[in-house]
Amino acid sequence: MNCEAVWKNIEAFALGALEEPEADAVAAHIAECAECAELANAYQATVDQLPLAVPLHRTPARLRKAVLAGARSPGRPAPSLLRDVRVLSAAAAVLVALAVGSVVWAGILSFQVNDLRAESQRLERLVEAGAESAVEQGRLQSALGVAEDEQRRMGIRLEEQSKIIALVLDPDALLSDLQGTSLAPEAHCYYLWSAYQSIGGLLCQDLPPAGPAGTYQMWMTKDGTTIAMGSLTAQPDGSATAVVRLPANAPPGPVTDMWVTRESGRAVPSKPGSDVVLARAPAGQTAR
Amino acid sequence: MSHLDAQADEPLRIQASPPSVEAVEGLASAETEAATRPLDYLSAPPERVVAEIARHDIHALEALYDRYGDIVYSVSLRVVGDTQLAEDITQEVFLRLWRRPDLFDESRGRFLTWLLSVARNRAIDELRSRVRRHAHEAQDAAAEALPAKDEGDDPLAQALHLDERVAVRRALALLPPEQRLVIELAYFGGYTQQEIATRLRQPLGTVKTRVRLGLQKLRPLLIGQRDQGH
Repeated sequence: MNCEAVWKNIEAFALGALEEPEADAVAAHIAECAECAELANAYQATVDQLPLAVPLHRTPARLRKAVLAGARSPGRPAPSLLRDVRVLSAAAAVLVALAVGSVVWAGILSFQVNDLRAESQRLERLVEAGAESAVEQGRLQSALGVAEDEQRRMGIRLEEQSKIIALVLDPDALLSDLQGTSLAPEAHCYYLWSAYQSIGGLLCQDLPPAGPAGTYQMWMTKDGTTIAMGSLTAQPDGSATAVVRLPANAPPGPVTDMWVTRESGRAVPSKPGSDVVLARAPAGQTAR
Repeated sequence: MSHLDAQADEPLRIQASPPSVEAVEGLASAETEAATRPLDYLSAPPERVVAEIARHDIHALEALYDRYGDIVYSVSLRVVGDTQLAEDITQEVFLRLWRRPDLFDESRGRFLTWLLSVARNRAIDELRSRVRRHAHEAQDAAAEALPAKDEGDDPLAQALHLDERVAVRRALALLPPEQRLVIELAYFGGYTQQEIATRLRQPLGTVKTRVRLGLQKLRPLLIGQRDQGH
């Protein structure tokens, strides 16, 4: 775009009324051309005065209180419709997916466990008939044990989800964003911390599978100490949740960083690996 | 800053400077006295008050809110047309200022215009993400019919930048209604020229001409206003 073309668009550019490709072209030219940049600044100064024309409305007293309360509690957002809607919709997407999967799986498990129990009891009555039946009963009892373990895990998962729901609904829960790194560019998590409940919850979307033997591990830095906060598993649809608690021996002081790594084994590693998949969104990233 | 600090065990410490020994004993030199004299937030330029926010002085935020809360709220309300949403945006704007006062760059312009552009941009973002095509219809209709009001219509026409605000309104009032309309739709509605043309069922070229002529007329009318007052 040359100067003449920029001059034809400079007013709309200052007003933010150009379509994106045109605006980008003007911006690129202005970055190189001092004369056009000066003209753009002049129009920008004009546009910047437009909000002074609005009729004044008085703010409600509660807003002043909310602003000052928010400032006095660093990071603590006063109850905000914007935050609630954003978190609730993200949480709803994850929780609905998990809940549907959990309910279906719990139903299947329940049938499976009941069938296995009935089969096992039937075989118990026949066990004296021969060694072959005893072997079959052993196989069934092993399958029953596996199914009951899975049922217990499902119970824990449902309990975890109820805690996440409680966190999302907690108006004082505090929010952080974790953004996917180049290892998981589409991934995004919300981390909610409730001082009142003393628990945190991680809600993730678009998390890729961690690999056949891999797992995701959450970490925090507190007073210079790195703390393992627990693991999480990505569901087939990329969603994942985890409830975390600070260990009793965690040092005092603020949490200065948090991130998620992909680890190669199931065991909790003593220190974080180098495959960081989620990191804190930079502060002020959306500032304009 | 995110909520991470809220997991700290230490409460926020508001830095308040105790009076120096010299000041207490009346021994301070004029220079020391000037350096230790508390800033009068009511009359200090906002750029000075922002510097105090960077030192975590809650009274500085309080003073800026008292001075500019109404107009930030009014701009937000003008854009989103919803009082609850406007309150949320106002709250966000001031808390962002509290947490990131460094985002204001004094070398790039006045504090008030920066603050209002932050509010306007945040409101436009919100508008685009949620209500633009639906709930905003009624507000747009009202905006399109809105005449440039005299300050006398404004129940809160107080001392805050009164001259400047009156000047901007008068400048807008001097524009032909069709030019004022496209400028308001672009600035307060966040519409592009193409979108305005669609909305108004006017050729794109007509809208572009109106935007150009409108701003070309406004520019000389508002030159000089931007450097006045705080």
